[in-house]
Amino acid sequence: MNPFTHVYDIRGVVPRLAKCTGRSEAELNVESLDPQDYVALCQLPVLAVEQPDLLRFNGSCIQGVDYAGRHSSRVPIWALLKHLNNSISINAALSYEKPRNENTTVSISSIFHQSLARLEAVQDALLPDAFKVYPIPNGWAEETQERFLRTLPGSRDKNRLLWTPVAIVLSWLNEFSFQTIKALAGKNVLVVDFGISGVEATLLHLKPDKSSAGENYVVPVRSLPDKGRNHFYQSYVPYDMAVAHCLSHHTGLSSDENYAQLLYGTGAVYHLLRGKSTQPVRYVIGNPGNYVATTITPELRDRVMRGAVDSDVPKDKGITFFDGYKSDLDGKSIRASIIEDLCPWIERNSSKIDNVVVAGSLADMELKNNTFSRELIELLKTNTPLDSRSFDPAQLQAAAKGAAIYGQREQLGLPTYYDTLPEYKVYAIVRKLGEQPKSGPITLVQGAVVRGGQVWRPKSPIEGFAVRAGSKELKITITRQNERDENNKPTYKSLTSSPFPKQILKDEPVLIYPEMKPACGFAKITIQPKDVPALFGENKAIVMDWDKLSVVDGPPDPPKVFSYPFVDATVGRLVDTPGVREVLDRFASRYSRRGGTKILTDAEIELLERVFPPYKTDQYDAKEGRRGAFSNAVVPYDASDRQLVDDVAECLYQAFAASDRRQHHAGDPYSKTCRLLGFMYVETSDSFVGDLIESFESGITPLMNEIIAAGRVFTRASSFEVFLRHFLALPSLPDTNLGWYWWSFFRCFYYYPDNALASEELVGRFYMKMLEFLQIHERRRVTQGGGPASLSNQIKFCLCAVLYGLRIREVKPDFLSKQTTVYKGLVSTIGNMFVKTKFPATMLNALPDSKKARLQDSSLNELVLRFLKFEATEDDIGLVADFTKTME
Amino acid sequence: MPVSLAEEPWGSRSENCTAHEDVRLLTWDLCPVVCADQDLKLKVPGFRGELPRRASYSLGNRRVDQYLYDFPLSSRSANELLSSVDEHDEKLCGFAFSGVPASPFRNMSRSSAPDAEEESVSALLSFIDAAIGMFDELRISAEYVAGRRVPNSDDLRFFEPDPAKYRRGIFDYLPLDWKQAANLVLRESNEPRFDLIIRIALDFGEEIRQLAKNPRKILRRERKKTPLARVQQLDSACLAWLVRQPGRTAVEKAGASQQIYSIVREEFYDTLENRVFKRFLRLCEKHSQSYLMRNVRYAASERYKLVKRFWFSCSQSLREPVFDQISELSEIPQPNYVLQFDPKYCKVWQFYLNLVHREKEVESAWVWQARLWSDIVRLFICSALQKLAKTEEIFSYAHMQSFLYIHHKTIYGRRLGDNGWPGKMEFHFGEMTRGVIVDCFDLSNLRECPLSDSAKLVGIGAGADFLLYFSPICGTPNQGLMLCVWGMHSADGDMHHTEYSRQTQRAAENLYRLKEQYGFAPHLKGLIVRSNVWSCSEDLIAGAAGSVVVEGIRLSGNPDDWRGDLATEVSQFVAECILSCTEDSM
Repeated sequence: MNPFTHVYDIRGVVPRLAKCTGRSEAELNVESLDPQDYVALCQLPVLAVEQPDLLRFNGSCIQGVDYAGRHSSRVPIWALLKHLNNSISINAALSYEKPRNENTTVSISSIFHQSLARLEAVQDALLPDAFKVYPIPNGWAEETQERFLRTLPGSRDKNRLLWTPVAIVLSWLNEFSFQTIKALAGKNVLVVDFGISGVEATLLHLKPDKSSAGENYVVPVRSLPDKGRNHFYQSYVPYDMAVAHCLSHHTGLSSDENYAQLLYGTGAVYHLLRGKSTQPVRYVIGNPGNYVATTITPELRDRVMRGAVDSDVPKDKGITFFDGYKSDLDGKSIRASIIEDLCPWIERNSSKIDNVVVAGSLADMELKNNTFSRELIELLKTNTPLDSRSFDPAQLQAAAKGAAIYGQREQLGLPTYYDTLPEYKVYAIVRKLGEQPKSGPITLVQGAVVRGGQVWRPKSPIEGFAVRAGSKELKITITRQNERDENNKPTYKSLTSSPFPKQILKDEPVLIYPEMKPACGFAKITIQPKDVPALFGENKAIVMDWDKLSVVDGPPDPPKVFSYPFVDATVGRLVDTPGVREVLDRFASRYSRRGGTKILTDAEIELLERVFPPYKTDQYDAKEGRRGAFSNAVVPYDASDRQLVDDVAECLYQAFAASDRRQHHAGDPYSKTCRLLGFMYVETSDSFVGDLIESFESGITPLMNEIIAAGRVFTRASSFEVFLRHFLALPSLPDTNLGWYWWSFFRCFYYYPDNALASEELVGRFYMKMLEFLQIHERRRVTQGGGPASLSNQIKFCLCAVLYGLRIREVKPDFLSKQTTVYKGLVSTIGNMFVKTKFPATMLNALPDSKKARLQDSSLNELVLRFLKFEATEDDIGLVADFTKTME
Repeated sequence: MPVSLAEEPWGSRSENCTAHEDVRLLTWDLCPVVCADQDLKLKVPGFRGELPRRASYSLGNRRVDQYLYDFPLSSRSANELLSSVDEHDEKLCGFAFSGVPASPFRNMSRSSAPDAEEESVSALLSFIDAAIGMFDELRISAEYVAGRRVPNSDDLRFFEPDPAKYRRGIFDYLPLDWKQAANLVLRESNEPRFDLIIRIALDFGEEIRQLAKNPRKILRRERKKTPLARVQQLDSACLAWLVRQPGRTAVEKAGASQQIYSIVREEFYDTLENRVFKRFLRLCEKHSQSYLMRNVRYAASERYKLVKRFWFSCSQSLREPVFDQISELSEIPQPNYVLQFDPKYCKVWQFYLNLVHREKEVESAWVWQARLWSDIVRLFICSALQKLAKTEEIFSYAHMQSFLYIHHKTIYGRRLGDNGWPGKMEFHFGEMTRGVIVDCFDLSNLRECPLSDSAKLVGIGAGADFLLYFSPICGTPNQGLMLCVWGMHSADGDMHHTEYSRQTQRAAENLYRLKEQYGFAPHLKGLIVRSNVWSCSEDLIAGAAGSVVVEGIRLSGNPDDWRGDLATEVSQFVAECILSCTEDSM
């Protein structure tokens, strides 16, 4: 590790550079590098080698001469930072005139990039691969951080942003002995950073911390900026402008033209502010044919610099260069801003303030006998009620030095500071398959306090989201704690992912992995598939693209009407009910040990029957529903449980294969084993599923338990279609008992969402046949008055088949649309049934009595019709949700 | 025909040259300029790239009615001018020059040239060589200031190396502070100018002598008839020959001469590195001779003596018998291992390349010698102004730096970058109540200059090499004075003296016309600085038209005269301009 650090404090009037050369903190040596004047002014890239280029910035131009002798254009860095800070698009182009009238554009990011790259070219030659730290204003939100980070040259890992007040405090603390620092722990420090175009005050808490080696430190804790409590920013007339204005007044160059000329490029002002010359300097201002000249002595310079604090520049004065920013520039003088805005704020928060540190590029300005910070402190002292001992000037270039200390400590793994992350909330606009849409926010990034420079990650990924079939990208709605509108209400923004690398065939659940680093732009949000690893092709994951952020009116509304039911997967009791595992374990070990025939004994069947089927208690568990040993969704078992489940499936299949199908009757081992294998749901033996498929394909009349098992174990559309084809090939006999077919049909949809991918045409034909069946029996019921008892059950299963078959609408929203014959037939038949089917008891059990009473007059027919007609309500969804808690 | 040959000075178009056919022009100036009605990409066969334009012509909606292009001085008797549109060249017209001295580099039949032309070619070569030597000296100084290690840098001791201030690495253009440049260019010295040959003499003089006495040799094994007593080694071929000889013993086989074939080792000097060395010595001899001839007046100086010793040493070395065995080098070879890595030969190779580069520079500058002269005029006028200006630190917003930028080779005859001008200079003479600020502007960069459009249009229309703008401090815009400066280069003697006078008159009339045409209110003056490779400096008869005056001076082509004559003349002229400017405003 190379612990060298470079700091680019580009916020100053004359930006500061510092480098840290110590290899450990004990020998930390922060030294300032003399920045060239070109650092203060961003030099635009010269695109053409032989011909000069000229920037036209809001109608005016500025120029200078670069190293190679070519004319080039310059912009004060603070103007560009203001541009960044005001959230004007980074790609806002400046017109950039090239020779021969070819116009092209250059972005602000390009200007920054070129200027910093030039700086780095000098610095990197001295210390290659050094850590680079950029102090930034405390109020920069993630958008600005992100934009700024993207403009920086070099790898993003090497570039760090650091809050300027934090840097100033680190530098301030570095001046004291440890005993003094220890006494400061628990105190609050107000950092007043007098910048070139505004003052920023930040209240930081000091907290003791320990390094991994047990050394004691005191570090600042940064809270989220809150205007009322801990953060204050007030812009004032940019100091260089004020100096120019004051200079023109003192030297009698007060005509507008000369004043504007003096500002032109601000080179003269920067030269003046650097203040290195102890000799009088002659300033020539104007254009050929129209010059004025003045000699500025060091005394006059002092007077001008002090006077600039009181100078307010009328907004309508000829600041032609900054026409576009007039609205951003506050015409208030620095003194007025301090007395009228900053001091009252300090007074309001004075009870929380223990120390005040004054720093910033304005405070660093060197007067003849002193630095400016002393005068600014005097100004604060006389206008605030704070104890005069509380004020402390930071050392020169405090931000640069503090940033160097930060860089050094971070590389050495030592305590730096604590930061508070802004809380992000996310709203699902695409629901997870099989779940209701989430309308309420879920916390995406916690507003946690984390160590500076360290990444925050949640303990577990965020669930409850899905990518929608046919969609090309994922959209979510987020709010950020530090982003509020003028009424202090959260701003809702829609965030879109990078495009999906491949087509999404059906809704698939995904996991969201957020991570965030303080002062490092937006949180990184990665989306990974939950169930299907290859959902996003080779990429495995996609990321949310913060470039595609757009403001939306509010959080996404959950749908008001529904056209298909939602089904929660039911977790089997194996994982949470004591005794189930032991029973299975006992069975597996005994079965594999015993010799003789592999057919299950009555004792074994009885043993398994105790745990395999759902509870058979009279007391219905409304909360959990009735659950079997196994789930209808893949459960991540631990290794030993997985082994046990596989063993049991294997044993049962051996028993099934050993049983004789020909001797079937209700209590024979074949039927019973078939039933048990069915109760294993998704965990059943693949061979058993294969056998069932073969059986359905062969055209042999299946046994009842085989039909029922198909409803429990046909997890995929391909096997379900075999079942459908078999059913459609059955002779259409009005007296055939098709009850178990209806049952299995709806259970296939009920248990396994993948079956929603089944052929629309086959399901349609299934419904046609069912319609025929219903119509025949309806006619009979009308003419003959009622029917066999089993018929009402059959009709109930038919209604459930219609209800759950609608899950195809998850994938194909226009399935059974209102124009289709099947739709019309179903609506007519179900709506006009002579006897309405009551709700199954499981649907009503969990409801409060008042609701039950309301449903007395309603029927399952009406519920099914509402779903079929795209009219179901949230209450209907609730009814179905209770029903779907059973695992029968 | 949209193009014609412009008449000097370049604002006025020649009436004889607007024919629609090919034109034959007798010219005694060496700076032909082509004038076009519209902005064209012009090419001349045999030269790479487009002809350089003399000015930037895009000034928004204001139109200029002519576009000027520098024309190369070709060795061909007739030239074609092509217009390049969308990479397709189309012949516009043909030009035939007469009176132009033939190029000494490409014209092999030069020996048949008349003596007078021979002399003028020789004088021009001397002028170009000296000018390039001077620019090389500036470049070396700039490199030294930028931190490059220059051996034997005693002559650069008055420069302060400041590597932190400059970009590292090799760059086409390097900056040099105008004050330092002025000191170097105008300093009075008893020593002749620094030159490449001095650097070689200083760095390598002693080693050359030693190397010439003992050049690198290789021992070659050869089969030769050797007396029996001296035979040391035989190989299979020698034995095969011996076996075939009649006789029983070796003595009998050796025959009457008592010699047989054996392997002998012989010294061999005709290697690539020695050929390069021989060529290098010849070039050193030639350059030393040239330097000595140019600087006869400094015969008593240290540098002169050094070069003389070096020349003698090279001549003596070439007379060493060993060099008779070494053949001549016909072209620049690929360096072998010795030339690249042997400490001495490596130096030989580097200096050889430097000398070759220098020769190429001279050859290239020959074609564009008018532009070279214009660079010299600019360098000396700006240096003279720097010397005259107040020494107080002046800060001005527009030119934050005051550097000249010097290229390591000539680009279309020019070494100085277009943008390297002195910053604002303030002049304050005697009893003047207020000073005068002088700005310098290049025509190619007029677009960005903070001059009024009328000033720019006059400057472009006049086709001047550069402009000086005198502004009295706190004066009104009309009190300013713009001075158009032309540098003109010729090879003739005094035979066209009257023509020179007509030129100043034509220039004055043209300037007056432009002043009226574009409504340019401030004062306008012109200065023609004409080179004279033969005689000493003299004033030419001034031309006047209305309020416009154009003065002319002829300056010697000898660089040693520039620091005196050119600087003095320019200083006087500038002082007059400043005074006239302030008198008016008083």
